Amino acid sequence: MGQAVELLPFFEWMETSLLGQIGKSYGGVYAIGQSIHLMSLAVLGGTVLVTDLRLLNIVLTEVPSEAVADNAHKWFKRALLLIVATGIFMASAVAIRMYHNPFFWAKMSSLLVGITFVFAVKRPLLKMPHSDINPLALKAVATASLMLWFTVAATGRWIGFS
Amino acid sequence: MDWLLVKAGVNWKSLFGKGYGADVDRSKLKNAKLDKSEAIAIYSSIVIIIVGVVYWLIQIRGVLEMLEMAYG
Repeated sequence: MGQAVELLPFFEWMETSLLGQIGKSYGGVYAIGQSIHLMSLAVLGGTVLVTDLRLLNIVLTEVPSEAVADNAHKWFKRALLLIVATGIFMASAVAIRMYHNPFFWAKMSSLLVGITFVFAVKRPLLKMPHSDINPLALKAVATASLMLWFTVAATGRWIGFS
Repeated sequence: MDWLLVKAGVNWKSLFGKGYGADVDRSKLKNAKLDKSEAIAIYSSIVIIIVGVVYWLIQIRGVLEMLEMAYG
């Protein structure tokens, strides 16, 4: 917990920053940020589901998996960008509360692992022709990806109820 | 990372083998690169799945205990 303790001043600063003050003072602005955050989460969840379920041969089996994965990844990146931007804004308004919430840290950890997994493991693998890839690798990556993004979403929602 | 499978006596290429047979004409370099990406993908995925399952089992157990305390 040594590292987490050192982060407290940063969270205190976040809450007193202009971004934190706007989020605290203007409920409408916070609501818009939260709406964009949730809609982006829906888009990101959709791209993850469509890609991973295609890799598991469950949906869109008549469409080449390369086409599904490549197109979905474009939207995944855009959604992720919006999620991070609006997430920083939302967290700023309640930064100290977030700091003390274990589900916030669970979400951040799984988000970090998720982003690393997508850009360091999943994408490099899926850039190859899928017919050349070991089917076990495709299915393992799809299952792990589903598990990771489910954890990001579920722990994110759990923040609000803890 | 294939050393684990080699040590275990598993023929990696024939075990899961779509397109890995001797009839496939590929350079050794390409094969080696492909195998490495796949091995990294499989091993990292297995770690993520195991950690995820353990994490959620712990969370679910916590919720069940809480419900038991609340409702008996």
